[in-house]
Amino acid sequence: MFAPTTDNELIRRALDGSERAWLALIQRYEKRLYNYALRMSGNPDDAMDILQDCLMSVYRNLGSFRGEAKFSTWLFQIAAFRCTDYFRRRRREYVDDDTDTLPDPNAATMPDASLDTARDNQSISSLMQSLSPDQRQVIELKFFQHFTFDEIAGQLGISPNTAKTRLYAALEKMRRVSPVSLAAGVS
Amino acid sequence: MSTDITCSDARLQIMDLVDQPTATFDREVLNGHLEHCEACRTTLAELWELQAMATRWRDAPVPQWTRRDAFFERRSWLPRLQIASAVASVVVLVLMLSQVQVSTKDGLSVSFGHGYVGRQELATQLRQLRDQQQANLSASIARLSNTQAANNQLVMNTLLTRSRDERRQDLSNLLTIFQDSQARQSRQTQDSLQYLVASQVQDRRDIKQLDHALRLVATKGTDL
Repeated sequence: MFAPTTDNELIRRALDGSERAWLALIQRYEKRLYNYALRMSGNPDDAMDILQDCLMSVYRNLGSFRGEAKFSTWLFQIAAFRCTDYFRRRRREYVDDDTDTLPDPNAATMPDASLDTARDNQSISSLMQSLSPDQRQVIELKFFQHFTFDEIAGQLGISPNTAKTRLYAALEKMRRVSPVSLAAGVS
Repeated sequence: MSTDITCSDARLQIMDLVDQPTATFDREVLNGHLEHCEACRTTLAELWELQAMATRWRDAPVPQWTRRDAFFERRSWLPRLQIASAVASVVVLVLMLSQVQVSTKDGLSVSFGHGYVGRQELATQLRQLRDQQQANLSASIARLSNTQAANNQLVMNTLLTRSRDERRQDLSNLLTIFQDSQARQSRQTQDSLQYLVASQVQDRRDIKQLDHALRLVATKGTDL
């Protein structure tokens, strides 16, 4: 009876000035974006900054979205740019051997999460933080956002083979940093 | 003829396999390579493990934030108020120019722009008002002067009465002191006289005893 409103319909109404449509659109994607940013930054506060920065950028550029690709693809392309900006601003080089000092990404946002879940998220986050930002983005887009290598290549402005090479390099890095994690699962 | 591929090519195909399990490359060739290449087998296993690991992530809830404020400015009522104020001013101006008069059955009458008074008449009304104001002022000053005089008289009478009472009280006190002093002196004089009388009586008694003793001595001397 009430068919769910499509992204394109919400975008059209938002461009016509509907605040409600815009808020509905961002609420549809904000959790996915926030967790993306959380895995990329490893810090809830930074993740929130990236989320807001990304959504503000989407809001300003919504008129340039032509609907040729899926909105989620366009959205994560902008999120990838914002994350690149974030890492450039922070000038945070990934650390090879000091993953214990990383903040717990669940500490501020999942107080009621079960211990196992919190431990899984913490382990995944630690593993992600051991990678370079470029490698992290490929892992994120491939395994968490389920984009194809062609889509990842389009979003990051690289070739599909470069994306695959980055993924392989990420595997090697993970194997060096935490061989147990990959051999027997992160938990 | 060898159908084996290099590890580099095998890795790309492994990636394609992860990307699309139904990829169109020759699976037999890849399988042949994997059978004897432990490194590529490990890579494939790790990719599957990475995929499984991603499913173990539990999405964290988004912290509370005010979405509307982040994107939209709050609407202010001030512009609407200013417009309403301007419209009201225009309406009143039109009513005044049209000299509209509104009356109710209760006797309430509101008129806009009526009651124009000429300059001469206005000057006369002003003069009358000024005279009236002057007369009122003079009457007030006279009333105030009379009240002031009556108050002064009252104050004077009160002061005189109080002064007279105080003098009378002083004289009364003085008289009392004088009478007390006189009574005290009278008592002292009376006491002195009584003492003198008593002394004289005692002296006379002593003289009689002395006389009696002398006579007794004289009588004894004659007998000897």
